[in-house]
Amino acid sequence: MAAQDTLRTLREAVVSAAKWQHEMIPAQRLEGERLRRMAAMGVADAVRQFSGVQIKDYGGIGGLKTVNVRGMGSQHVGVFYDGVELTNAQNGQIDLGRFSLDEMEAVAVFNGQRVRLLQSARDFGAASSLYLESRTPTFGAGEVRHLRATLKAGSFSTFNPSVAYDRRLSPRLSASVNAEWMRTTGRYDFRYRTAGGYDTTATRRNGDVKGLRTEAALFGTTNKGSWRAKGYLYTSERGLPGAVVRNRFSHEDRQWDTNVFLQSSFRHRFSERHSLLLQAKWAYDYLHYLSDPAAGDVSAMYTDNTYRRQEAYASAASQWDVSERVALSAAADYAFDHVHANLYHFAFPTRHSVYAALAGRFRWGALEGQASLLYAYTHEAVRHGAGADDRRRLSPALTLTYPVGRESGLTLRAFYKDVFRLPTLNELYYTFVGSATLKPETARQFDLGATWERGAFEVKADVYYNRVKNKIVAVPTSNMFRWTMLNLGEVSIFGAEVQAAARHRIGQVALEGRATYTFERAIDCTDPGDAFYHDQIPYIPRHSGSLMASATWRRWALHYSFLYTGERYEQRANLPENFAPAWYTSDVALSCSLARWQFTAQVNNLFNQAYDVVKGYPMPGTNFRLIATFRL
Amino acid sequence: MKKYLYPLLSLLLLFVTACRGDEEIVVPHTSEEIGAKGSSFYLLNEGNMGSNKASIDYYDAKTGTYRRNLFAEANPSVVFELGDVGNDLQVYGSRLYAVINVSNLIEVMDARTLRHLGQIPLPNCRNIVFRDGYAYATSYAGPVATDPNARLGYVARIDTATMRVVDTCVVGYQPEQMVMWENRLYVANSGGYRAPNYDRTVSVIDLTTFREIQKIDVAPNLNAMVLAGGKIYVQSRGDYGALKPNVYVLNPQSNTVEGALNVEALNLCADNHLLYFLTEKEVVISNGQRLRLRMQHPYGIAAREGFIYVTDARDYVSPGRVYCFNAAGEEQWSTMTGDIPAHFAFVTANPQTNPTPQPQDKAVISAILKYLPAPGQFVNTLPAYTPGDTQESMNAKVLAAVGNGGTGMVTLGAFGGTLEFALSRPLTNVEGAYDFRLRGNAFPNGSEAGVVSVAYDANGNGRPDPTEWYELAGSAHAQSTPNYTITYTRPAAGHLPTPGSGTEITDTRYIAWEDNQGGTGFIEKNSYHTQDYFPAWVTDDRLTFTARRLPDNARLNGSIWESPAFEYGYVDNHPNASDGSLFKIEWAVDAAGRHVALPAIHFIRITTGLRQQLGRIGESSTEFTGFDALH
Repeated sequence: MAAQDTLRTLREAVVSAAKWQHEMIPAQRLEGERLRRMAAMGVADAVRQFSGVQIKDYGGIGGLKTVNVRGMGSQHVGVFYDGVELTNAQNGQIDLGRFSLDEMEAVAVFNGQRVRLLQSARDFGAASSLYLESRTPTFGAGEVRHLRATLKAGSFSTFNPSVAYDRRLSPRLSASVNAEWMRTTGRYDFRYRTAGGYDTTATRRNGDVKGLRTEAALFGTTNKGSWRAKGYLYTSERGLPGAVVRNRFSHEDRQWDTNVFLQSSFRHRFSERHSLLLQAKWAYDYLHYLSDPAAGDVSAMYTDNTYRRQEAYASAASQWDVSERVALSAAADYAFDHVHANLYHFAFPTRHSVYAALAGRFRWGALEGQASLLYAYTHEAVRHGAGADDRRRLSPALTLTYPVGRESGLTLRAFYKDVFRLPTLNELYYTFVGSATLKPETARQFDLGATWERGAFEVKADVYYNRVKNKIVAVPTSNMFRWTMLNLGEVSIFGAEVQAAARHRIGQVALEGRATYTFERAIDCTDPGDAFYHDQIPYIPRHSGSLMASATWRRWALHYSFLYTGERYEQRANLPENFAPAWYTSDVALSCSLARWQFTAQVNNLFNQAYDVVKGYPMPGTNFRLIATFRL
Repeated sequence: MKKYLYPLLSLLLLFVTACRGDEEIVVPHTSEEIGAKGSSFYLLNEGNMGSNKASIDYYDAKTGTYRRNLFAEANPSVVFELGDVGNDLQVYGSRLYAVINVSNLIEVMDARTLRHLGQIPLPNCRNIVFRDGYAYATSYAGPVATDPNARLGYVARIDTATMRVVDTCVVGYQPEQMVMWENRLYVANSGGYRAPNYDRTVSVIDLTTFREIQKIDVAPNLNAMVLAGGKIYVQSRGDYGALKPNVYVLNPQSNTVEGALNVEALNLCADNHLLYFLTEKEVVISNGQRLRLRMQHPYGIAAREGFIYVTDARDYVSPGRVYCFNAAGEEQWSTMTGDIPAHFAFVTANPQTNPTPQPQDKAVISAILKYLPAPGQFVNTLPAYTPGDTQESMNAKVLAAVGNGGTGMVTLGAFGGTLEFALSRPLTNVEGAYDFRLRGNAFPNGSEAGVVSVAYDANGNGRPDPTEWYELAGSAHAQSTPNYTITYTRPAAGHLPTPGSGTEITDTRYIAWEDNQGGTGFIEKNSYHTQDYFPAWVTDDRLTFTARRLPDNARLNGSIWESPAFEYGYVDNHPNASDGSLFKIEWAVDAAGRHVALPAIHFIRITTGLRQQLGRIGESSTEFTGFDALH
């Protein structure tokens, strides 16, 4: 542990000058032993503990899971894997259900932005961001190799072995390979009942997943920096369980995915005051969707679609510490995206995007601030139909922090940020549906917050206001068979978040607790003449919260997490027909470390609550998992 | 630090112990007074795909009340309510049929109460029409073809009595709406799954052979279809691009296309020799009138008695609206609906004002359809005959005794005596459970078993037709004699009694009977019952009954007559408190003894099943003391 921590600090120190080190806006972060103790099923299960975060979970291990921060929609959340944004220009959707935590060192959510200087231009653009940081191998004195083997097994016939092997090749070069295989039937019983009415229990079907993820990476250090290169391959086959409706509890459609990427980053410090970050990525995604009535569901429409997506990305960023009081940075990114599909009249769109960002940090007395300006340019070309006009956009941001005296432990912060999200290529060009005239969806974010720290106790609180304009919504045309996309929606979001964390030790027992609460009034402001004007937008609860508590004693660790999502509506109209009741779940994990072994037993949804996060997608009841890890 | 930690831990404890009921509330209907103008109708809201939000609203034109979302409340036990994506709604007879596309079923309801009577499974079902007790419904899900994109659809012929598909007829690709003309069914084929290679044809089916006899080439992507003035009007949806929607006129005499109307109709309807075409901006009427619409997305249209009804689907995920216009195009009223309001079904009879009966509102005997006892010792006393009584007044007395939950006693007399009654509402056949109790006056070893038949009003004409009756097969069904016919003759005016050996039987040759098996005999008169045993209000002197005769169950044990009960399935057989007086609709069989699955029953008939004379006890006669629905 200690060695790892030291290295982490070192690595950060290499990156930027010590004096600008801290994050101006604190992240919600789970890392290292805390993350492992929680034994979360995946990234989505870990981040749903954070305040302001709503996970749209379609149920089961293989189900789609997307993250939404502060009610702005999942496409406003940038998901970064080792510093490079994971994008899906096709549908803008990043499925967190596919990321394992085995090789993750830390998961962090920034409600707002990560206020740093040396980062890619795209980092300046997202309204909120989720950072996934994979493990960097570390070696103690005399160590040259590490092996980790993990076996997870549990409910839904889940079998999930993984193995990682690290090798030190030279003092300046190490390699790591890891592989993970997962298989689950995704079968679980679910129950729906109404007061005085029906009470039905059935088994969720077609939620099976088989997937293999392999990664290989090289890590190097130079005299004045570091570099890394990673290759990633994921292949999977899964059933799509679909919505549960009357007389149709299961579906037969299937999906096959292959995702490949290569990414690399290079950090270099020219001098005490000048550093450079280069990043590059190439990605290829293949998706095959098949719905075949011959497979069993005679009512299905035959559909056999394949989508192929290619992405190339390069970024260069540089930071220059001008003086003790001023630092500047500049970043430029270029991205290429192309989508190919076997659809009738498909447009085969290609997008070129250029991002450029300028940022400055300053200090004035105790007041510290960062201002940034992002310029984005896109150009699109299509094989069929009309391509969108070129887009150019400037988005500024300003962040201020102010520590109130040295002794008080109180820090105040404020930020303003103008953000946008580009229409996805599906929204622009999907056969019959897309609308090439779409403008980017824009939002303005305002935030006021404070952090108070004293000893082992910490409280963070924020109030914020977000205004989303030109929200891209799907609307039907005069014929229901043909929908289209319009910049129609307007949403106003007022929220408040509080997080509190405490640590305490009683003899050999170390206790930790963490609680969050979020209030959100996210209302539809599209049309004052509408009957549902100012209704709460779908799937955003007014109240939500979480609680985590853990106790460690010698080789034992007990972890408890509680999650509460308040009453919501599933549609725009806040009517009883669209009402979704609150749900709350309790998960418990107990782990024990024995020499090179670590064992964890976990019970999720302890009180077997029957609930849906998304209507018609029932979540599993009480389920179990056992994890055994061996380290060498 | 403890001061922070302990509150936190106690809060944790609170969460752990707190427990939510997982039950969701059945969303009650809402209602609104919007004014009484137009005709009463049910409106099917489709609900967006995957939302399971199909729902039914009702406009009561008499009271001017609009009620939303009635189905869930009226049928709390139907799992997942009405279902996913309603596609058609029709009234036939006393029933309402809703075609629920993604749920792969046709929901059958009582048109008065909206109560669930049954469901007809049909994959990817689309639209429905009716004739002569059969429903005809289109389905996309035809036989799976080698070329998965060339899968034809079919029309299913459904027996409305049994709610079963009895035949299918393969038509074109993705068939939609239908029209009946003479002995033919015209089906619009869309080919919607094959875009851009849409189907262009109307299939013509001969209803006798139920086979496609012809395909008429019309235009791409056909959908809505109506019959007006002897012509069929069929809408082409176009290709949603350059090819605009249009309406084509078909002559069913010659099965030829007579021309196009060049109106960009999204939907159409016909009423009283006028055609109404719904376009994006207006309603175009065949008399040349045009009615401007101010709506987001006009979707459904209907016309009745000079009023025009148009729905606005708005954004397809929020509640829509329905508008009523008069013939001059002036808005009469408008109100909020469910999601994607689309399909109208007018009802002539007003449904009961409260279409959601309370749970205690169980079926009771609401009408006596037939009361004809065979001669017997209680006849003319249970119920009492007074001179001047007619069949109607006797029926009224029976109703007073056992109707509306009454527990009075009514005799059916000797073998064959019959009582038929109607229920206040259909009684659903709950699989595996008892459905009703028939009370009698049986006591242990005192069975006077009567045979029970039930009828489901398949054609909805409000009365039991001869073909709609099915017997409940009781435990002695196999040993009994079907179609046993007996004729009783009224004693002649100057009839002289032939007293028996004791004092109790006063006339051993009182009422003569002969059966269809060569047997003859008499109903004896006893000293306990001195009145006329022959139904006094009946003018015929001979009464003939044909019914199932149960095996004799009476025996003399010393001087005591014992008639032990049959195991199950007969009225006046077991004591009322016993489960032996309970009945299951699923016992119904047809004449050949085959099991018949009735969704529900509307009528019950009971007949005395024993033809035996028990000395001083008299003839075995079924007595009936009331009906209890169990659900």
